[in-house]
Amino acid sequence: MKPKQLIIPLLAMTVIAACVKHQNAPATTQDTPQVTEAKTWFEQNVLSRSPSPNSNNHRATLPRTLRWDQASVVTISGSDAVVVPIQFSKDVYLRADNSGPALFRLSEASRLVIYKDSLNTTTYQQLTFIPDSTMQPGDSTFSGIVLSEDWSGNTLARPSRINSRPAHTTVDIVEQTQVCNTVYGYNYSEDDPSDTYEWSETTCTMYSFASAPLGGHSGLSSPLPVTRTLSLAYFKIALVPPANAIGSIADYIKCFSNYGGSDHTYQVTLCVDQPDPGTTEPWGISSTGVGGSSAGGNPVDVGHTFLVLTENFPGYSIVRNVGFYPSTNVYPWSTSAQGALSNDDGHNYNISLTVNVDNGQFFNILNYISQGNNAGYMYDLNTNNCTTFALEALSAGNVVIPATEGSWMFNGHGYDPGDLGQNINNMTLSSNMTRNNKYSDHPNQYTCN
Amino acid sequence: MKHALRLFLLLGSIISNIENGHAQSAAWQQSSHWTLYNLGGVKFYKVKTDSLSFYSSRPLDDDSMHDFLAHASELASEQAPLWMGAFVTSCMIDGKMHKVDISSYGTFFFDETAKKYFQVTQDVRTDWLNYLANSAGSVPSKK
Repeated sequence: MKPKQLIIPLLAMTVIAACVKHQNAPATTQDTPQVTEAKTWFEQNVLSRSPSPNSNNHRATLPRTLRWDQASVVTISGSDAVVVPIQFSKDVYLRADNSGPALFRLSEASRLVIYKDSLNTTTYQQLTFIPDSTMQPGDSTFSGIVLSEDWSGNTLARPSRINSRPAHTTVDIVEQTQVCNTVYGYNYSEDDPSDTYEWSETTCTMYSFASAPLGGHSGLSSPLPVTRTLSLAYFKIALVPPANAIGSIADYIKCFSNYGGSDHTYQVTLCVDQPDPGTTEPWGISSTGVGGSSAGGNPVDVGHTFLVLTENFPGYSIVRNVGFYPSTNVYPWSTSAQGALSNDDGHNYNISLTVNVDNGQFFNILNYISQGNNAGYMYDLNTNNCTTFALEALSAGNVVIPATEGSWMFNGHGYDPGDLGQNINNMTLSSNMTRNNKYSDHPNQYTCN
Repeated sequence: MKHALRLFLLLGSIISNIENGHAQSAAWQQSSHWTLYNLGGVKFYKVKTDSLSFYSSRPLDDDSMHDFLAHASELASEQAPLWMGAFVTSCMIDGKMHKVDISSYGTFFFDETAKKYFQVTQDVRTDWLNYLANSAGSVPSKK
């Protein structure tokens, strides 16, 4: 498992319990000899010998129990198979790239199946059923992908599709990439939202869905009967609307730690997306009509300046991108709006300056940034724009960058990305600074509880 | 009489706008194959639609995009807001590829193929930007 970038402010997340159940034939409790025999076999041959969980499989690392009291017996290819629900200790939700916006409770999508193979040898598989986006609440048959693993989370067979429909488009997406089987999970506690966290598993090189036969499954001839024991509830995540794209700046930057020792180093990178790269021009000119007229030649792009904050310590880097924006559309003739911080980890830039700072400077910069979401803290294209904000934040950390003010239409003037980019390009660097004239990716890294 | 005519024209305009809005929402609901690109530092408006395939990309979830665009409405091009960067996306509508530049801060976006501005509703802005930002962060620039 790799730590997943924080997709949504989880503390603001609410799982709507008014979910819709996907009702199949209810699994009947079976205290039958088959169940008893299967339980004895599994405890003696698997649980007592099971090696450590596969660390790449987050699900396998979670505490879970087998609900033998809810076990049922189904017939697969003429033989009895015992199906046991798997109960994960917390409310763990999952979805896949191809399961649409709905979430599913992992416990309801996981089953242990104990059966006899073609050589009449008792064996087992842990199956995880991930519905696809064509499966609707109330559907009587399962449609999606099934993962087959051993108790330690190691893959036993490539994922197979069950009942995927011809018009299925999201599987096509998976086929196009032919690498991505990402399962997203959310551990969410309604009673204690602070205990919520997000995880993901990406198995990118192991599978090719494109060649996976429908319903085909190594060892277990068909998991279809097992799907009839499922009772899947659909959940939707509703976000309590925050005032801005980074709903809680405190939450967004909470992973950073304030250590004075030499094993923690801190960097701030000032990234500048100049309107016309390599010039002080404060406005980008479009030749394609994007500026409001199909004739082109319109001033459209004022560029952008943002910060990339990095803490390095042995084996890890914590990276957060922060940019300051207006929270509503602004215009050349209407330049002010409530300010809002945004995650800029996909934003382009053409020149950057990285400054090594100490922990005190770093946290002073964070403190300055933290006001960006405050009600009444205004963005203004002239007096407090993204460039002003970034420069002031650095200044709060005693990092002073020589900056020139520019001027633009409607009597506008102030700091701007065009001038700042050229200032950085021409400045003499201190020993703690690095300049980069080429774009490189700068994704957020590291999540923490 | 003049007032009646004005009222009639105003009502006509409102009805027309509502119908356009519905028509546009319907068109976005038909969109598919939403894709997000990493232009690796190139200005968003300098890359033509037929060049997008040269850049690294990842698919966006069509259902999510439909949700965000459910109440999208057209903006008069004279009311074009300022750009401060954009998420560059494309989608298919009626078999034709549309390059769609989405503002990195506001609610507006520009369909370069149709040469029209649109905006999503303010209530979905946060989720919309978060979804795009987090998706963009996972697209490496190297193809």
